[in-house]
Amino acid sequence: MAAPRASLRLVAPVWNGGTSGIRGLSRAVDPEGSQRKGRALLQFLADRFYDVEAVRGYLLQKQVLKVLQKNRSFTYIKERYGPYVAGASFILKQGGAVKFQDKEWMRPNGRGLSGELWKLREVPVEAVDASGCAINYQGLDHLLALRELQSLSLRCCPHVDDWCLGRLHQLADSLRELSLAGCPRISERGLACLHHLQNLRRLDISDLPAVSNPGLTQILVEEMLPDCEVLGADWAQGLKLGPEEQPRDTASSPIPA
Amino acid sequence: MLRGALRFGLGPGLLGRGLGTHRGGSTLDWDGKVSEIKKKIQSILPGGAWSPLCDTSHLPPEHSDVVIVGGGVVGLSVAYWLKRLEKQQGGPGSIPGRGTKIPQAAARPKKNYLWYSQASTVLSVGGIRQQFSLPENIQLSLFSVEFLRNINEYLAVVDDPPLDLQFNPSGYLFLASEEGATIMENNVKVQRQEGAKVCLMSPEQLRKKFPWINTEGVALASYGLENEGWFDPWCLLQGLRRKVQSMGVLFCHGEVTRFVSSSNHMETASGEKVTLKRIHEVHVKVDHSQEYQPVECAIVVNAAGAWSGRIAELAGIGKGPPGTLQGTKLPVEPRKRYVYLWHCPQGPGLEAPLVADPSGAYFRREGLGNNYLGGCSPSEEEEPDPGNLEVDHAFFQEKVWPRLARRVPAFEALKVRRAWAGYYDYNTFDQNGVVGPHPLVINMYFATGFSGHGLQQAPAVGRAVAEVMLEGRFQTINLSPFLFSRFYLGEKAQERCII
Repeated sequence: MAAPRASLRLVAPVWNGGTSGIRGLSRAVDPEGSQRKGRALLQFLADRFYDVEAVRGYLLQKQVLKVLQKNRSFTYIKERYGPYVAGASFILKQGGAVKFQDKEWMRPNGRGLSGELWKLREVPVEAVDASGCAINYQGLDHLLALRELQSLSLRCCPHVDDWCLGRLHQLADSLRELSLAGCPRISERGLACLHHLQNLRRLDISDLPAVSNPGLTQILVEEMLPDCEVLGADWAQGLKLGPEEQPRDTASSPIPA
Repeated sequence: MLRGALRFGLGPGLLGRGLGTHRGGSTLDWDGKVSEIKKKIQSILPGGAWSPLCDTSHLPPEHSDVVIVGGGVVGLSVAYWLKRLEKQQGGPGSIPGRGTKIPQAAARPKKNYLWYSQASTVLSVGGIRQQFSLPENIQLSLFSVEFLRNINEYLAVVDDPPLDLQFNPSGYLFLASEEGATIMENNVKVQRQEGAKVCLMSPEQLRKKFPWINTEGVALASYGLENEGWFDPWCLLQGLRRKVQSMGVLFCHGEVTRFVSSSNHMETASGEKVTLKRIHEVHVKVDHSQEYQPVECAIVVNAAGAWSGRIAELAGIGKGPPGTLQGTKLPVEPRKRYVYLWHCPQGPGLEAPLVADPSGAYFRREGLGNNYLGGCSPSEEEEPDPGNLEVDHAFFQEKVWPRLARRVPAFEALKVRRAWAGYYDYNTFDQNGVVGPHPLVINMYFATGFSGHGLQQAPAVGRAVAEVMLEGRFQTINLSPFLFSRFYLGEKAQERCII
């Protein structure tokens, strides 16, 4: 069974860096404790007052809408400048990095999109680093339009789930490298639809908390994609140590699921 | 402090009798008694469920606006969409808990913790596909997939954990022999037009992609690339129940025994005489007793699955001379289908889709341990008796295993681990759902007869029925080919792609 996921919270998710300001410090000291207390109080109030329940519902809805807004489609840019520039501007706006063919990596600087982006209408995008971006199923449209994409990194994307992996078959011709490490919503069921990507040569599936059996999943994925180098959990992870074996130093072993 | 007050205020008589007759009373279990007394006092205070004359908490309510017969995924979906669409219209449902009262009565007696032991929803294999031949079916499935993908936005309940449907996006693979190849090509054209992502594969491509398939006798294959696969139906059911309860729908379990209706003799525009019926009361009998509750209602929804035929008969549908509209019965009957779970150590790997053989056998992967689920639709002569849910293991040995082993040679060595049986609410007319109102019993709406693809169409069907009930016509997906009147007019909406 998949690892249990935390319930929807009003506080910002922990992986966005909890060190901003005083709130961040106290959260860093005892993140679960203070959140739990706050949540218990809110729940107590929400059980008794319709208004509090409505406000909580509204705030949760706002969070969801924020993600949807980030993933809206850039139709104007797409019509005017083509799919490559539209996809690149989407990634840069989210905070990722883009590499056009024969050019250097472009990262977002604080002052908006750089001017030379608009001149690259005919240049295909070769690599995308979307680590930590809030891309969801809708936003993936922009990436799937990049037909010459060779390397895609979706490390630690909080909204990329099994449904999104089901769409990656459209990049089967060009994709050589894919990284899904650290995505909290991807499970072994989504990894099963990566078999369309027959040109894949490097796949990183380490550190997926929702995968129920990382060692076995790694073996099955390696069988599914024989030409691909799969980086992930150590296959011995999950096996019980025999009585004659020494206990391993836990600091050096990978993070268990 | 409370204990002191109780000891002072209440005599032994009230304590002894008011605490329920099931207590043996031999040991002085003071803590238990105190909590029981607290509960009684809480229920007596305003807002509690105690009525001074008799305790009716186990019975359905006396009045309700809509009664949905059947608490499976289709019935819950109708309840959800009814509450949701009514809220959007600014109706009385905008105050949570108030507004339309929708109790759901089970059509058959079920024990408290075994409510769903015979419901088709939880016994289902859980697949969802867009590979149908009718455009309406494809549209229903496309919307349902979108519902499942965004299930945590549709069914969000504040403070409850998000739902994990365990969806496997592995797709369906239909294999066709020479005779079926043209039909498959036409079907795929319709599916692509509606927006489904399906690709056609030749036997060579099939061998390259899935080397464990034996392509002997296969002329063409259609493979769903996106939005197809299988999921956990129990999770969907629980999610709907939780959300629907939070929206104010009441659940009652019991058996519907009678409808009380009134008739109205009217004339159509062309002068024909018709008798229109209107249901006023639903009698719901409580399990294991003779007690029943007449529930006064405005609308009844028949979402009773395999037992919808019986409910329709109770409402008087089909009682009339054959060949007339009054004499047209609801052609939905329960059909038993078996599902077997087996282990095959050399079987297909992680990429295996749900494979449907032209002979009618199908299988899919289950989990990571080389386990597979599958079965076969029997031919008309081999139909098992739907009186009980006993599994026939000989059916697997004689019909399912040979067909699967021919298609996937690795399945020659397998071991059956478990098996169960469930009902299809089989529409004997054309194997597609019946949705919408009955022309003569004007306040009964149907949402049944899906013959094996009810689970995957449930969210969309719920929305369609809610639209018909609130607006009077289908708004998003036009399901007029699925109305009841087609049984009288003889217009079949035949599905040519059934598993």
